[in-house]
Amino acid sequence: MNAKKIIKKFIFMLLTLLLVSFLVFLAFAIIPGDPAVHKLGTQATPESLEALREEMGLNRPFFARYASWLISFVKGDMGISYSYNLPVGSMILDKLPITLTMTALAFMFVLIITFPTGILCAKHNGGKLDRFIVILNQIMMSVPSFFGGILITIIFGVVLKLFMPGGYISYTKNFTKFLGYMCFPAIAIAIPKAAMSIKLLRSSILSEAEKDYARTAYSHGNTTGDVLIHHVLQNAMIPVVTFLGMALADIFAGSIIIEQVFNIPGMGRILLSSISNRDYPVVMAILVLLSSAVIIINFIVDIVYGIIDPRVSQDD
Amino acid sequence: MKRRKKNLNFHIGLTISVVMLIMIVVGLFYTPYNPEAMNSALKNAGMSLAHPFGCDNFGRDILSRIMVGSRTTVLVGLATVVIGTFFGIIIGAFTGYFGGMADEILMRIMDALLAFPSILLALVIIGLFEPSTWNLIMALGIAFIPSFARIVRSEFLRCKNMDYVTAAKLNGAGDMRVMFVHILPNTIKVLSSSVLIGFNNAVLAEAGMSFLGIGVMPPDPSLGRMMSEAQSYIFSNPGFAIFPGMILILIILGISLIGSYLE
Repeated sequence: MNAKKIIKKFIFMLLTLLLVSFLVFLAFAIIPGDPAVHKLGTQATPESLEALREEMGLNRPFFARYASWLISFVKGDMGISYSYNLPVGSMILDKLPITLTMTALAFMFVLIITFPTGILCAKHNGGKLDRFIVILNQIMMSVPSFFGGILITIIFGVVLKLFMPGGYISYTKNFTKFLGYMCFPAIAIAIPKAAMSIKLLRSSILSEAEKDYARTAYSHGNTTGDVLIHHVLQNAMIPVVTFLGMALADIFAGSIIIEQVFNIPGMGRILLSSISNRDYPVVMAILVLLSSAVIIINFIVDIVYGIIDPRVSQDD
Repeated sequence: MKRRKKNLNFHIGLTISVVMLIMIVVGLFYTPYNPEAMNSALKNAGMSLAHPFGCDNFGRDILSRIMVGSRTTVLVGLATVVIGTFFGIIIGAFTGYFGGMADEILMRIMDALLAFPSILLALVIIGLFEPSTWNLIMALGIAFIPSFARIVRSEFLRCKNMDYVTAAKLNGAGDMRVMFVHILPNTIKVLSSSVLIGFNNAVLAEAGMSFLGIGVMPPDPSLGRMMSEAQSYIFSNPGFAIFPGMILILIILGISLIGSYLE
C-alpha cells in the first residue's frame, strides 16, 4: 500500500467522521423538546427561558451551532451534562478505562481462542475433534453475549464461587482484582465472536490448502502443520482480519449490554441513564466517540489489509 | 460428503425452527397457565410437573411466559427485517441501477450509518423517542436498512450490465420494469441468506434492548425482558434466566443452520 492511497483513505475517514458527527448533531437538533425547558423545568418564566437559550447558544443558526459544537468537541470540550452539571469530557474520561479494558480483554480472548482452534480444526479436518468443534461452534455462535454473561455468572459466580456476582471492584482501588473481575464479562463477549472467527478461519484455511502453492509445499516434504502455519495461514488470515476488525468494533459497542449483566459502571451505564434522563450532551458525546472509534478501527483494518494482502493495493 | 453434511445442517435447523414455530403458534391459542396470572405461593418455584420450567418472582408460569414472549421476540425480528429489506431494496435498487451523484451521497450516508453498530443506532432512536414495542421495531428497522441497501446495491451493480438486462431494455422494458421485474428476482439468492442473518441479528438486538429495559415494555413478556427480570434472582431461581435464554439460542441456532445451507 503506497502513501498516496493511505492519504486518500485517511481523508475519506475524516469525511466519514465529519458526516457522522453531523448526523448525530442533526438528529439531536430536530427532536422535539427544548433543552432550556428541560433544564429549568416547566415552571420557568419565559424570560428566564429566553435568557438560558441565549446563554446556551440555542438561538443561533443551525450551522453556526454545529460548527462551534464540533470545534469545541475536537478540543475536548464536550459540553456540560444537564443532569449532573459536570463537564461531559471528564465524566466519560472516568469511565473510558473500564470500557477499554473490557474491549481489550475480550479481543485478546478472541485472538487466543481463534488461531489455535482454527488451525487445529483445519489440521484434523473431518476428524472427531474437528466435527465436535464445528458443532460446538455453531451453538456458541448463537449465544447472545448477555446470556453468556448470565450463564458465566451462574456457573463461575454462584456455583463455583470464583467471583462475587455484581461485586465490581474499581480500577482505582485494586487494579489486579479489577482485571480479574473484568475477565468474566470479557469471556462472555468473546465466545460468540471467537466462534464466528474460528468458523471463518477454518474454512479459509481449508480453501487455501487446496491451492497449488500448498501442494508444492507438501511435495517439498513439509508436515501438515508446517504447511498450514508457514504457508497457508498468512493468506487464510485475510478474510479473518476484516472480520476481526468488525468484531472489535462490535465488542466495543456490545460492552454496553454486558456491563448491565456484571453490574459494571462503564460507558454503557452512563449512556443508558443519560438516554432515560434525556441528558443529550452526554448521549451525543458517547455516540460520537463510539462511532468514531468504529470508523478509526475500520480505517486501521483497511491499512493492515493492504499490508498483508498486496493484491488489494494493486486493483482500482 | 460436503453436500450431505450441509443437508443434515439444514434438516436440523428446519426441525428446530418448526418446533419453535409450533410453540409460538400454539401460544396464540393455548398456554398451560395465564402468562400474567400471579401466584404468591409459587414465587420462584423450581421445576415441577405442573410447572416444567418453574415460576418467576411473581409466581407466573415461566413456560407460558416463554410461549408468549418468544412470539413478541420473533414478531419484532420479522417486522424489523421487513422494514430493513423493503427500504434496503428501494434504496439499493435505485442507487445501484442509476448510480451518479445521488448514489454517491446516499452511499456515503449509509456508510456513516453503518459505522454505528446497529444496537447503538437503535438505542439513539429509542433515546430520541419513548421506549415502546413500536418504536423498537422502527428503531431496529431503520438500523438495518444500510446493510440491506449495500447488499442490494452491489447485486444491482453486478447485474445491470448483464445480457439479459440489455435484452429486456431492447424489448422496450422501462427502467422500473427492468429493476423490479428482471433484476430483483436474480438477487433473491443473495438476499435470502442476508435476510436470515438479518432476522437473527434483529432477534438478538430485540433481546438485547429489552434486556436493557428500553425495548418491549411491561406487561408484555419478551425473552430479553424475562432475562433482565431474572437477573436479580440468579441465586434463588437460575431457571428463570436459563430457560428463556435457551429458547432464544434455539431460535437463533435454527435460523442460522438454515442460513448456512443457503449460503
